[in-house]
Amino acid sequence: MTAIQVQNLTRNYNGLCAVNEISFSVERGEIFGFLGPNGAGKTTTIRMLTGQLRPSSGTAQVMGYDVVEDRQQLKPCIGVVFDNQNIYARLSARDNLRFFARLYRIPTARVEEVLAQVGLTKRAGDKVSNYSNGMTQRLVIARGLLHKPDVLFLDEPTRGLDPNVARDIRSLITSLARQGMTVFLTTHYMEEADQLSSRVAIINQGQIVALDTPEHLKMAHSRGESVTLEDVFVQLTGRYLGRGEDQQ
Amino acid sequence: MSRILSRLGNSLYMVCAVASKDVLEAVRSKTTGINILMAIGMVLFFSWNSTTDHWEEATAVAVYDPGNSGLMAMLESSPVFDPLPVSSMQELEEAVGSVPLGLSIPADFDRTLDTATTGTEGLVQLIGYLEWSLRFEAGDLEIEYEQQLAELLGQPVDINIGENLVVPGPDSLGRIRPISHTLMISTLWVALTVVPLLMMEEKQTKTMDALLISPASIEQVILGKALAGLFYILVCVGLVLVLNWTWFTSWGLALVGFTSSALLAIGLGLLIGTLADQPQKVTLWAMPVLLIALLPTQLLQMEDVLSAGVINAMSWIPTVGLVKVLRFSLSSGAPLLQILSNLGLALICTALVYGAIVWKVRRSDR
Repeated sequence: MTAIQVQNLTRNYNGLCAVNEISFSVERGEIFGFLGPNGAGKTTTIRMLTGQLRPSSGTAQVMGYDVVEDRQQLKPCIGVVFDNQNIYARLSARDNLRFFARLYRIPTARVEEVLAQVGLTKRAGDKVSNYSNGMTQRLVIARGLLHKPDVLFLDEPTRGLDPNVARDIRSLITSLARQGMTVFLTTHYMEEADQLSSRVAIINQGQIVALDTPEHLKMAHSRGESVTLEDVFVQLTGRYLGRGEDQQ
Repeated sequence: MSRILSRLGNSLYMVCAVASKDVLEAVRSKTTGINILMAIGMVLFFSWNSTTDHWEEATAVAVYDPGNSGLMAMLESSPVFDPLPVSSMQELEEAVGSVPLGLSIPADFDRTLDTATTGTEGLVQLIGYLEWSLRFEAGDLEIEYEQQLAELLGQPVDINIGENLVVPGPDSLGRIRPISHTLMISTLWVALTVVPLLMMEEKQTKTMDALLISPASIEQVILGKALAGLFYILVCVGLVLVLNWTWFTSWGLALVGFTSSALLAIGLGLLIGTLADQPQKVTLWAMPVLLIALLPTQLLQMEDVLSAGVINAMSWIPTVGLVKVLRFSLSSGAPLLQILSNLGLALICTALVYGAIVWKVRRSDR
């Protein structure tokens, strides 16, 4: 079954086309990697798919709900881990999660469950302002998982984290997918995308330039040599530093 | 019907959830805590400064003396009384409100005093009038004034106050002006210094994104913040109501006036928070708004010297109308039509302000 269905989705900002008629679908339980250089349109796409931003044209459905028309019904179905650690720093982790649990009308017991799931139980009563980067990121993920969403959007979830925390988070993502959760993942770490994603889409300058399994993409761009997903990514989106122009 | 009630209940639940989070955050925020403490200090100072005559040792007393008695001269030379002569009973009643005590001296006072002095007849009697706010201490004050006058005259004096409690009119120059102004100033101060942070911080830390992804709607988030703002204002400005509770003649009207003022002020605060993205910008926006909202209410105190055109123009400023409503709640004779038109204007402005906030937040998805 399809979890996300996107058809000719476009978003313009003041005459500039940030996302240009992209189309793809994501199956339920799939980890879908959405890759692209900075400013390619990844976050804009996530914002449209989560109902935060209105598309200029095109349509998108998540779990069968139109992202514009059925925004309110869509909300309980999705969890979002933003690319910034947007959490109430003056509150404790527990108070943060309890607040969102109230909004989602979830029993308080679930708060303790997700705290345990991300390994924050012992420090749950501490103010978030005293947390390390990795702990805050785990809390943001816990908030995204709190209401057991059908689709989890992860916008660069391991950015700036030490390898241990990053590994924990990757392992968590894999286990969530095993439990049937659909994961829409953006990352700049190609190895991570390769390891986790069943399929990846590469977006460049607002357009999807490749969409396939990591293996197929590597094969298609190997030219007889062994290549990594990063090599494929650079081939498709790379820019020469200093020249400020695209490599064609 | 049950569906509407269920939706209303759900909205109220969301609004309360957002408000309780904001209050919890405020408790843990040094900045908000300091701002609220400063506001409480300001409220206490204004109340203390404007509602009691700390530096006046003499009791101001309005005196109606149709017989031109010798008492007037005695009162004028007395260090205990500060007499204000009036020429009619109506003037006397109007004056009480600006001053705490009114005395009506009988026309035959001098003769009565002579006969009392020579012991041929009874007590010297005066009719006293007391301002409404002193009603609970009328008995004690009656005794105190009688003793002070007795010392002045060298004779026992009977001041008959009884039910002569005077409720000041809305245009009285007495304390109802400073009380209504303190209410408005304090409400605007808290709303424009503390409330904008509720919105600005959500934007600055991008937690607004997380809120708008949750099942709470934009309107519920904004109303939740308004409720938290109302809580802050109640903490600070509620003190004004408590400290001056004896002055209120209509608590219903006082609460309507206070709530309307608070909702308008909170709306302005939230709008500033929606427009500003830094605390400095909040101050930059808040100060002119505070000035525009407050200056006309201060000019209202000089109504007698202002031209009709200026007064007419000022009546279109909602804070002016709301100060008048608050004055009516402290005075006698509240004109219903004027109250309704003032509240109506405030309501329209409040709705426009909240509409602008929703529009501005919605625009973030455009």
